[in-house]
Amino acid sequence: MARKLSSDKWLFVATLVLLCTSVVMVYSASALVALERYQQPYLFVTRQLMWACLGVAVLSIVMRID
Amino acid sequence: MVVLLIAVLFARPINNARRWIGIGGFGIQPSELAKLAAIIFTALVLERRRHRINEVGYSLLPIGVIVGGLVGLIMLEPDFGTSVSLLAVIGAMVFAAGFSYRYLFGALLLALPALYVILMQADYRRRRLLTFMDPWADPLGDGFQIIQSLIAVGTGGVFGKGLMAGVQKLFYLPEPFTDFIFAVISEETGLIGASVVVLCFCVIGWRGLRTSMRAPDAFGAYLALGITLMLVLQAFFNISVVLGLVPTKGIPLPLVSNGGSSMLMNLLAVGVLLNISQHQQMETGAA
Repeated sequence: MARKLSSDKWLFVATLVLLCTSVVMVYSASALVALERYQQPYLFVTRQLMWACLGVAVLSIVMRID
Repeated sequence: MVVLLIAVLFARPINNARRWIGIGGFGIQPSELAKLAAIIFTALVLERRRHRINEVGYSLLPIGVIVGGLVGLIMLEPDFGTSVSLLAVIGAMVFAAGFSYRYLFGALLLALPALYVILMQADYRRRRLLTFMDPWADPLGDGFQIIQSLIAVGTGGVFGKGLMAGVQKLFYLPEPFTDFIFAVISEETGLIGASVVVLCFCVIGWRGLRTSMRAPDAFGAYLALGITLMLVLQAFFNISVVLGLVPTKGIPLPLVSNGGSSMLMNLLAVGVLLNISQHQQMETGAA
């Protein structure tokens, strides 16, 4: 991997901004519903965070394979 | 033809489960996988057969059979919004490959009566359409969702009420953290937050199309176009639903709505897009 690959920075940043918005807003929007229905306010946001991390991992793998 | 196998593999559970299949407590939405598979497959066929694109039997038959089958299965779930957006993306890809607009226009005309029948035959779709025409006809029943959504967007103002301070999400809005998350964003972060989200999707659209145009080969170009359109079209539809501009459909906001498999597949798709964009940089650097 000597060659330096540069991917589209704008695209990457926009995606990350949306992801962060997603985690914050899902927490804000779901906390009370989750508390009411499942007695766990962090239920949805932890799942969302897990999927987001998994997704970013998959993204970086897919980015590197040809 | 690995993609074809993948498509068939993923198509099967759609019939058994309605929209989601549960795996270890997590809901997986097969239509998310099917969407990406259909786009990859179409890009592949278009690259191989684009030299004779206007021979319908040669170039379009495989796409029609596979995509038609997938859309049919998604339709059975039933998930009308996803089916239509997938068809729109595939149509745009085929058009970009140089397929004559006469055929596409003709196909669209032929599809209209079918669309009408599908819309009117399911009771809830007809009601949603009527609700869209006049939400205030039944403010506590059918119009409830869209009115609550508009209230959320409107009361947010320019700066919003602040995080966690929104009221509409507290059991007024349906699905506040999935399909209607944009309404919550508008209420709590105001016009500014909502604009940031819209701007992000514009950036994705702009850079995605740029990637498509500069892709080193036809496959990359069609694939980038399909992925970009999939993300941007869905965002467009979702935000339109929240703002009451189109009838209510169950389309999540890509990359933002709560939902594991859709999140994962969309990020995977962005990864593919980023991958294609790397090669374009290299090409221009070498040339």
